[in-house]
Amino acid sequence: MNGVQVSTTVNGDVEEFVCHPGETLLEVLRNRLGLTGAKEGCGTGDCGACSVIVDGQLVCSCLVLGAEVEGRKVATVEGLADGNRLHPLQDKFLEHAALQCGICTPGFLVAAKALLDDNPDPTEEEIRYALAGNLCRCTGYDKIVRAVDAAAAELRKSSKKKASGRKK
Amino acid sequence: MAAHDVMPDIELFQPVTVEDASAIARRLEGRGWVLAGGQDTYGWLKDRAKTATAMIDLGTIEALSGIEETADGVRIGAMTTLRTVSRDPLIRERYALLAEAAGKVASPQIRNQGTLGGNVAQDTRCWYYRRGLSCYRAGGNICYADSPEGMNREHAILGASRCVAVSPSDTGTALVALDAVMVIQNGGSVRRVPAAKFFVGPAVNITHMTVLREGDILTAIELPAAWAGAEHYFEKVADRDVWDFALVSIAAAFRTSGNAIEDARLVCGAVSCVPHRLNAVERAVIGRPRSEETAESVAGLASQGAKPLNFNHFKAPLMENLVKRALRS
Amino acid sequence: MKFGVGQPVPRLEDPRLITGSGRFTDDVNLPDQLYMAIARSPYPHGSIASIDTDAAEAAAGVVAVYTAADIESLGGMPCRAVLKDRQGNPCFIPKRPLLAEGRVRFVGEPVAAVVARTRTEARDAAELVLLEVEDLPAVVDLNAAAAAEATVLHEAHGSNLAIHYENGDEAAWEAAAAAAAHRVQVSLVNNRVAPSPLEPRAAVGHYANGTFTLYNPSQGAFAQQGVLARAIFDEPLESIRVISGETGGGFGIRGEVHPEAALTLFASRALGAPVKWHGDRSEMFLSDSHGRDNLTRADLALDESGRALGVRIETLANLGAYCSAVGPFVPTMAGGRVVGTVYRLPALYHSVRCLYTNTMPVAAYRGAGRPEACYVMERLMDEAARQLGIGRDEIRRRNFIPSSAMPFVNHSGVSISSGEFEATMDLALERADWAGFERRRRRSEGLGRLRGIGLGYYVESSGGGPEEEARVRIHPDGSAEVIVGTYSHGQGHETAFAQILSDTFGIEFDKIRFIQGDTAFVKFGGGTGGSRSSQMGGIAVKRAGEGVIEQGRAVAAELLQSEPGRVTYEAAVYRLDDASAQVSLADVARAAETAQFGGEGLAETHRYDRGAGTYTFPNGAHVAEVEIDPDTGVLHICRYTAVDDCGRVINPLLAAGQVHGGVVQGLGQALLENVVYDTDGQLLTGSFLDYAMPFADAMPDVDVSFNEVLDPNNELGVKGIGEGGACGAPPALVNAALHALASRGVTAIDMPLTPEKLWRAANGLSLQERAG
Repeated sequence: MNGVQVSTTVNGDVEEFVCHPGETLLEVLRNRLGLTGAKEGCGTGDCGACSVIVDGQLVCSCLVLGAEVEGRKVATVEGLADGNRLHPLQDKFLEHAALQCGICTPGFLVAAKALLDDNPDPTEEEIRYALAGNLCRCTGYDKIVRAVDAAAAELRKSSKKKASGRKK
Repeated sequence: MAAHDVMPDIELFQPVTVEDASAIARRLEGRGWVLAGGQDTYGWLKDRAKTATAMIDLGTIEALSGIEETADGVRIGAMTTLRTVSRDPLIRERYALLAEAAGKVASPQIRNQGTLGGNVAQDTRCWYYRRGLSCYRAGGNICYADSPEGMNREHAILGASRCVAVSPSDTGTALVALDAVMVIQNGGSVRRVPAAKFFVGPAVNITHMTVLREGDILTAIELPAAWAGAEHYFEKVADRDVWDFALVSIAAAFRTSGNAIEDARLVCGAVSCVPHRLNAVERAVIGRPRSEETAESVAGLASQGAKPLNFNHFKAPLMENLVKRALRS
Repeated sequence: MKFGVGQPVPRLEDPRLITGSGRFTDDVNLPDQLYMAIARSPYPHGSIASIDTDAAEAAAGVVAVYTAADIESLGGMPCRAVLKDRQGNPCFIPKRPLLAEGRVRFVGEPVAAVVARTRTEARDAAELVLLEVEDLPAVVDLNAAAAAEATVLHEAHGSNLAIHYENGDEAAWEAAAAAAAHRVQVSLVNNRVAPSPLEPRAAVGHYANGTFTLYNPSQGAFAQQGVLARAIFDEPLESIRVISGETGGGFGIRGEVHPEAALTLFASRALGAPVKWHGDRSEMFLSDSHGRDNLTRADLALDESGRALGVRIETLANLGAYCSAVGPFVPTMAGGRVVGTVYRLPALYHSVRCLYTNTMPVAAYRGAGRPEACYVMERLMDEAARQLGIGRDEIRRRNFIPSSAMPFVNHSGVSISSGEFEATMDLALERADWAGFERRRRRSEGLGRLRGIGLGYYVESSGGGPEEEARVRIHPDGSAEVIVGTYSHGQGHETAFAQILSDTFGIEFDKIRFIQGDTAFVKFGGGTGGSRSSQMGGIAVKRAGEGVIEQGRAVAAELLQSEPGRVTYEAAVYRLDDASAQVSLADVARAAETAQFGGEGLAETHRYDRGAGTYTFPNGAHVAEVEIDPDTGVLHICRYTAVDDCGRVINPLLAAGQVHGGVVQGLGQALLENVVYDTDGQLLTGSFLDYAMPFADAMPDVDVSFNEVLDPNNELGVKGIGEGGACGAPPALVNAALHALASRGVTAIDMPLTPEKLWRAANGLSLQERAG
């Protein structure tokens, strides 16, 4: 078996690894890089538990090869918080109890991050459709939707503050 | 179908030119699998329902991505993601039909990584075939879906021949409706195939759903100016509004003059092995307005010739209903 | 108190789960571990002629291959259901082997375990195990399984009937039926569902120094330890340690031990290395227990005014090929405890035939028998209302057990302790604007859509096993540690129990450490299931805490040179009643660890015994409002209202979350979910594509509120909230859809209500269409 040499950026850090040609990005993250936040729920792209962001795009890491991220930027749930400071999405997931067993949560957080990066002021319907690649069996989605909505408001508030701060 | 999760031991080629990709595919003969996003491929390989010893990734060929205006319309690189197709301002403005169809594929994750080329080249979802059973399509001599006990709610009511599987592509119906042209390169030679001829039924070839053969690389899809900015309608009926494949879908385009339809394309998905063009309906609506009255009078033509199986009789009247809706709005 | 009972306190367990650092079983990797894969039967039914493992053993990386012949020392998977029919015959429960013995009886039954150096090697080698069988006809359909000429799955027994369970009085029913002014009949399918926790099952088994250690997801480690030790390995309890880290959902089916977990331990002992198994999603569909799967015919007798005189309910229940850990208990006694649900029924006859078929065994799934019981009564009530021309709320009003009749002993001899069914329903009707429906219906009609509204009233009997244990210790720094036998796998016990302790001790929330799911610490416990944790674990925790305070009072009295009777306790401080001196809880705990006070520290174990045969009765009214597009059959849920009486609400955030989750699982069953075996016994729904669960886009905002009627039999007044949603949603949704379709003459439809099925119904086509 010949390995594929890959150089990529994960959560801002340069990572170099050698993987099998058929190895998925999910396996690389979990088994080679020790990032177990992305979970395997199905292995076929149906559930979204393995969601990560590659070059700004939300993908199922079980349906991307490790070899395909050569030269690209990967963001996972582990990179969401800034050191000990939680991302507003994480804060709002806490506040709203938007998780129960937690297995799907990293995927939802990453999917929500991808949504808010792209659309800072989504409607409820837009939130629901943006999260519709992720299955949750515990929460009934209600609190997840509320949490994402609240995080979006929080992020808008802080970006407005930043913007007005710059004006001064 | 199954949901296994471990890829087999396999080789990977990442060529940077179409010529190289084509040459590798020809050299590997049947053992190579061309990757155009992989969102369907990896499932096949993880399930071991199909065997390939090497993958040829088109993701490393930059020339295959992007949307550009041409003298006669728009050209979309085959490796352009479904997300880009669904959101591109040019496509949304002129070919809303395709943007909508692309936006209805599976889930956000799949649309971000899946490509237009991959979407039209994907294999059928027949659950007997995907399970790896030795049916007609897999080289055997039986169709499990078209048997007295077959579970065939999703299967074809039109154009079947031994195999009753349907084309799963949402964008395929839109491309046929838009008279798109598929640009295929093999080695140094390029051929251009109308979308309607790109998809093939089992009477023509029972083991392939498209005209793509070894060494063929679908490089681009061209949308002619003729249908740009026409009136478009797309609707997909499925068990769930996301992720699921269509039970029946419709893609329609109308050019009107004053109140009257001058030219029309109506294509149904998931009713046949290929996107199914409704020729009789198209002819019947010429010169008439888009209206309730037109809808009522022509809808019955939509399912002409349908031969339902045990569990998919509903598809024929559902086609008619979708035709009506396309003609009403 | 800010963090006490009744407050919407955010969850303590969440920080690790939202940062990706939760440790689920697949995140556990031990040095030098080997990987196991399971070869499963592709045949639904056959006598095993041979199992050829040569090719698998010769494959790259393979270390060992085991079949039934290699694990003869191990017992089978036990069923703990104990029930007899009216003639005193016990339920027939065949051995369920870890690996198929003699026959294979369902597609996916484990046949061989392959251990290799990598997961891919194990997985590919498992494909090389060659199973040869002499085919036997597959029995898939329930009616076919019951037929006299049916192929018998377990030959020695002579038929596929495990037990014919009966309850009530058939003669009384006949008399009531004869006297009735109206008879209303329904024939119902309660569809087979795949519970599908999002975490695929996994196990890491490690045998070292005479001790087995198993990491695996569960609903309670102690129960798993017992089954492994007693039923499977025949080893002392203490030789097996079970550790459940985070568990990615359970819904009933993670309550039992599965063969793969035991096999990792067996292989680890044989090979001297840790062995890891991680199932993939297809294996979960094939080998995780299924839920529901009943065919029911019910007959309601009513008088002139729509008051029920009696009911007859006859069910065929699918057990699958073997009994799961609770198998025949679910459709009989579990559901039977609330047969007839919230209605006064002078006569009742209940009959359940539990049958074996060539399908995956069926087990407890969220509600376990109660959703089925409620579905029957709620469909009957709606059908009676339709036939008698009475309002659907009104007919329920006329038949509810009034709160003045509580405690009310039902036909199963179960005493329903409390509930305000009519008031709870009225709250729901008001919040759902039931009265304003007609206006909304007309608006939908104008858009060409069919609108309907439906009601589902449920009652549960919850609590599960009557005993539960908790241990509370106060450390010298004043912090508390609590060890419980229940097991949170998403419910948020870490938070809820901390709230209870915070209340009891008056100490800060973050000073409470929570331990569960590791048999090194947990010495007894029934686990989590049957909505039992707050009412059982919660009370055990509260009483253990109170015991600790009393212990501390004695120590404090000595430290303060006084009598315990003069020492008061409040907010982590013991004081003399004249406030002349005080000592902190921490000081008392420190003292208690000294030899002077016995050195045992400040700790108390309390085993709470609720009393056998007693339960709590969560209940509630759910209202669904839907719109159906008759052109396409697409159903849209416009509004969903839930008013639940779960007794005292400990944490409204967590309680609402349980309602949301239960409702969406119930809506999933009602709208989309269906496990399909073809007539040959092959599973067709082996992925999340073919087995459709709801995504966020199609689920409604759920309006959740509570009518807290405290349970009179426990000091917290709690009843349980885990399962109500799954009970209320299916009837509410189906009743709403039928209400919408009434104008098209539709009076019956079976779950799941897929667009295609609704479309057929709306367009007057047979629901079992066969062309030609």
